[in-house]
Amino acid sequence: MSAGSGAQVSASKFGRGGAPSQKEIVLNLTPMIDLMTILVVYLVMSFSADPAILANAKDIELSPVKITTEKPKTISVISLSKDQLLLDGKPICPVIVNPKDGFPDFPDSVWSGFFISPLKDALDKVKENAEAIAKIDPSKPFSGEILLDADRRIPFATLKPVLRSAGNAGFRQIKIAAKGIN
Amino acid sequence: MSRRKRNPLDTEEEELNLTPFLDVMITLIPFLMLCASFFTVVVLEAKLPTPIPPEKMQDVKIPPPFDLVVQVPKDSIKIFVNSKDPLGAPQYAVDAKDRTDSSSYSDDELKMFHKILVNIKIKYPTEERMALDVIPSLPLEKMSEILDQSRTFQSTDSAINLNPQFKQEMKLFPGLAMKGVYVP
Repeated sequence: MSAGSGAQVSASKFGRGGAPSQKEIVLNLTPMIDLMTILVVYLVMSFSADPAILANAKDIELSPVKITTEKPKTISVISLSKDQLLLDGKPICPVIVNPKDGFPDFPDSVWSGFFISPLKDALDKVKENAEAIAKIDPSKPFSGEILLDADRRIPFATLKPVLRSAGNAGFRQIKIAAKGIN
Repeated sequence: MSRRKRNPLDTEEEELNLTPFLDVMITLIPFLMLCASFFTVVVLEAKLPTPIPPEKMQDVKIPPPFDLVVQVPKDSIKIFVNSKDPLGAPQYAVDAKDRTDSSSYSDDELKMFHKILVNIKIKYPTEERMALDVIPSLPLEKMSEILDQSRTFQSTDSAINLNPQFKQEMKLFPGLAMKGVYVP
């Protein structure tokens, strides 16, 4: 990239005293191209590095935390916004407003006892796949870890059925995604 | 048809046309910058209660040797250590007013809560378990702040100099379990 390439700008009247000059000014674009290449590589890398950012829906604002520095691993992600519940980016069910308490809630059709049935079914499949992989490659055992990527305003009452469903499917190590501000 | 012969002594330099490359870059960079998130995503660990199989019930000690419970109602943070009465008065409490303008705790409230946990850790240096019992309306933001303050020491805590283990591991009460989420 650092080859001496440049765009030529012809300047015929840049001489002192008004005498036309035949010298050509060459605009050196090399530093600009170097800078742009570095910037593009950095931005593309920052996209690919973080599994939580990849699955992060636009309407999810993470909770800010000051002390914790632990980074997320590449695990399945439950995303919970005020409108939708997703698992690994795939929609599971909509989120509605409970008329009784005004909290975000799930439609009656998705409840199965204390659990959100479509979420539990989807997590069961994720667990089955993880266990099948563990049988082939014992170095990757099923850890029961799941990343919860929820909006900071979601109340605990709404989180409870999500946590219960995850726990019942065997995902008991909950990792709550947050925004490191330190 | 006439064929023009190229003079081998022709010294004219051929320029690399960078215009398309620059066009792509100038379009790509603003797009990536608009889409990128310039913050670090961190994770707070929390465990769900694990049911104990009936055959192992004999080995379970009730009450456990150490029981730290952080109760979070709307306007305070209550801390119970080895308390036999969860409805009684807490050993420690932080007055955390429920503000309508903001859902997060103030810095002073969080500092006081952290300081209490550090003092408990000094008394029980080998313990790492903590149960979190929060009200249903508590937003995740507040819960995350509580979890954040209770997991590790801060580098500014003078207590880390008291015990070499504190300084080495920097762990406060990372063994968090959420109460009220019964998973059968």
